[in-house]
Amino acid sequence: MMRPMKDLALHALDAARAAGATYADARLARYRRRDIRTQDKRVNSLTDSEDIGLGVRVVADGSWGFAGSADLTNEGVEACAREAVAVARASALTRPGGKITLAPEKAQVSSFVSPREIDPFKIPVERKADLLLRVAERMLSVAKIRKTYGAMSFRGVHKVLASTEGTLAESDVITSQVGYGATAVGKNDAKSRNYEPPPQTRGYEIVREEDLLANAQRVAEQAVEHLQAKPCPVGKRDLILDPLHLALTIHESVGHATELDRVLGMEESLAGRSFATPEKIGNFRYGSPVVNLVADNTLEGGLATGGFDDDGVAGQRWDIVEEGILRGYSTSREVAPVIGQDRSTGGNRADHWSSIPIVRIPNLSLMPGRRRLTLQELIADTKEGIYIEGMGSFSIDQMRLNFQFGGDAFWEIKDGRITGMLKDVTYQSITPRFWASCDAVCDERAWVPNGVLNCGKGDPMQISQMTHGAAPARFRQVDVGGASETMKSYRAGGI
Amino acid sequence: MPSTTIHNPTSQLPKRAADPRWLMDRILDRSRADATAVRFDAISKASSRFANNEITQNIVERKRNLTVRVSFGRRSASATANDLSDAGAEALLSRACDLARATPEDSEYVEEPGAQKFPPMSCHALSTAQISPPDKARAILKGIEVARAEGLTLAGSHHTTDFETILANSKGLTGACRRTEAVYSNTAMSEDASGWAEAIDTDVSRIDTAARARVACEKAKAALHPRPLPPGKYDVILEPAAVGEILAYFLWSLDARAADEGRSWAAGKKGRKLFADGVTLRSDAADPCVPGSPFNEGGMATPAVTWVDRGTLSNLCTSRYWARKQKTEWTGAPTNLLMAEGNTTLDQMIRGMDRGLLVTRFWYIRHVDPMTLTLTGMTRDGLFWVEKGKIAHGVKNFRFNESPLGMLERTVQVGRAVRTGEYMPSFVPPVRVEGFNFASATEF
Ligand SMILES: [Zn+2]
Repeated sequence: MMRPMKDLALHALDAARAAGATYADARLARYRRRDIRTQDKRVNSLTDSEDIGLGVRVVADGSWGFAGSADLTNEGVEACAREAVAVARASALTRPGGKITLAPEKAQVSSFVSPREIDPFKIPVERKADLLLRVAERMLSVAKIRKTYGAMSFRGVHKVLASTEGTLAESDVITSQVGYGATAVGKNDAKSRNYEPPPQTRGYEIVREEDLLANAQRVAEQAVEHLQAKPCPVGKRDLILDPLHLALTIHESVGHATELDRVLGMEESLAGRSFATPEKIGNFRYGSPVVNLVADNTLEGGLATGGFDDDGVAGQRWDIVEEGILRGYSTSREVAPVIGQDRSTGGNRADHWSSIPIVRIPNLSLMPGRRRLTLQELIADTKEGIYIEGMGSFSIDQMRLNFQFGGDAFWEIKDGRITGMLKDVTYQSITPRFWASCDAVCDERAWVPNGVLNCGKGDPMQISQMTHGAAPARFRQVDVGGASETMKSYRAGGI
Repeated sequence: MPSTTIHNPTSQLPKRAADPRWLMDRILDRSRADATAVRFDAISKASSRFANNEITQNIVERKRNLTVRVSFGRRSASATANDLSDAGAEALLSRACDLARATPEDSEYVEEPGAQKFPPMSCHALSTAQISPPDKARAILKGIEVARAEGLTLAGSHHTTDFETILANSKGLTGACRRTEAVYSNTAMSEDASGWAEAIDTDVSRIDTAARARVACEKAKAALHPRPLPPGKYDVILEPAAVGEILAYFLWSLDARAADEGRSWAAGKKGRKLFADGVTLRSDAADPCVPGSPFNEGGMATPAVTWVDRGTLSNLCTSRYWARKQKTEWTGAPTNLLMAEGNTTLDQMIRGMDRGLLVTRFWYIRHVDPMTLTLTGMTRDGLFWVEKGKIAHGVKNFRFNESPLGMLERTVQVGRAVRTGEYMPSFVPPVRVEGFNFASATEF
């Protein structure tokens, strides 16, 4: 017997209501994933997974309950709904007289399909393997390159969301990613360089074969150059951060800091809280006036663009930081009313049918500068600085203040010119101080929507994805080299 | 929009199909590949979360997956699915076969292992597998009541999980393991400070949530009005959670191939005395103090391995391919970590410290440099200044840039071990380390 997903979702709602739920939503979702990885001149991993199941979230006795099950028989779906209600009643033991208030929202009756020209699940494995192996061959032909990796990952999520408020929405989203890297090995040292174009909710068309092949040799040569680079200076330097790198800086120091559930203490036990508390909205200087950070879950190809969130709220666009001032948060229907907002921004997403939705970072981008400015002009205008490309090490405290970042490649800037590569660069700052030091953002010609596919949050941990676009930007007099002494001492020492 | 439809398994299949072993045998019988391995994983998990003194998230989930790995000569691929109908299993096998046939030959292919003798495990408790949602809620409430009485707020989680894994392959390997785990963690918040404590056990009935809440509350109170200290090198006592977090990165850095290829700090270091005499690190999946997984690479039985023996780096983590190529012994990957303990209690360690810092735990540890194993991370939920054997006051949190290599070299005292480890199940003691490098401070 075969049943359409919508029928089963509606059946789950009936069962939840019958068991005493005052609100329920049912999410039926199918996940597909196909990954291919190469190491040197071999395919070292080829995996495929497919997974379908149901998550039922309910409010009963004024508290939340959730159950997830892959038993998609009528009886299985009913048992899942009943279990969710029983769990909600248990939650209520800790909050007698508790009440969940959800921000009002019109029932979502819609469907969404992410754009795709080529279905990546239909591209033969041979073609993917061949491309990655050709890239590897080019990189390994460069002297001192001892290790390469290549990877492609394709994910598909087909989801139906139904709620007792009348929402019945369906979406189908494909995410595609490709990347590779090379490691050069010298005497007592090894350094890498990677090429990881922005992942997007698009199809195989983002795998631009010519471009990937064309960059292989450069990447390998830069890994070798990285090996021979000068160590990071210690002190204050002007930093120019490229868009691929800035994605992570934005993610950690702005994205997580402006998730309203964190701000309200709901993530205290794991992810932590945030310094960006509600009384700061509209008056707190998060950054300099050139800093505009816009959330946009309608961005085409954006990793967080899915039509609607798992609260059934449609994708929206709003300001997080406007001309340097803190303006908004990412919210869910549960947390938005806590600070008096009458509508959720639509940021409640679950990573699987077996997980509950939690507040997530939206597609959040640093908007391009309004003044015409190229990267070359910005470098030419910088006396003593470091240009950082790509993502590397990153760590930030649980209030999202003190952070330390590395990168993939570092270039010394002297008197307006790039003079060579640096290695072991780290920079450290305090979030609002760092964004206040931003004095220039290049214009829209240099704006690139990079993103993050492995954002971990929640307990149990869930993995989500979102886009962070940016144009190259400059930050004045940032502390660099905080880890240099440690690295030097272990390199020189007996160990 | 794709048209996803759903198999309704019970309507078309005999009852025995619900038994994973039956399905696994069917797959092995059906497979025309040169070698086939099947793995069944089931997770039944109840996760509760609380914040601001009430439960905010309460979940039960049940997941079952089949993974099939097939090889044709040196070509192999694997596929996973959770459709456990007979038709689903057949489709899974054919997907794996299609992928394997399409992939190039793997020059590093290693054949499926034969029958294994798995270590005897003692790692399952019915109390954990069967705890009811109301009982869980009441246990959480006990902790919350402690915090309420102190005028503090408590946030945390209480997760209980029942794992089942069954393995079988066409070379005659079979194995099964059921394991439970209960993880309770709580953070108490005072006006401007926080304190943390956890308990991890196979058996949930051994977890005393009220006692854990008291520890967190005491830390939160003692940490009130934290004072700033200048960054720099300090003598520290690292509590077990902090030790476990750092040592997980150490274990992950022990890859023999990376060392042999000159891509890690461990290049040329095997067999050398690098660390303090008191440092012995090993893995033993069967240890009841912190059970690991009996299953390792390709279904091989996890061996007990000593990585660091009284300060000497005695083993590196060696895969089957690399062991064969280098003619060394296979170790597999560690699935747990045991650090040899001393006989000093944490209180005695604090009493014996003249001036230094007590670190409750770390947060957001990341690699900075693999060649020196330099890591960065933050202190969290209880950083204290110790003076003349007593906790003097809370300290605003620090960021460290430090390497476990130096930490283990400068380990001067080892206390009594407890179970900890968010990512690597660990049974590790608190340690005292000289000259731990804190590189910058934060504002709280
Ligand atoms: Zn994240």
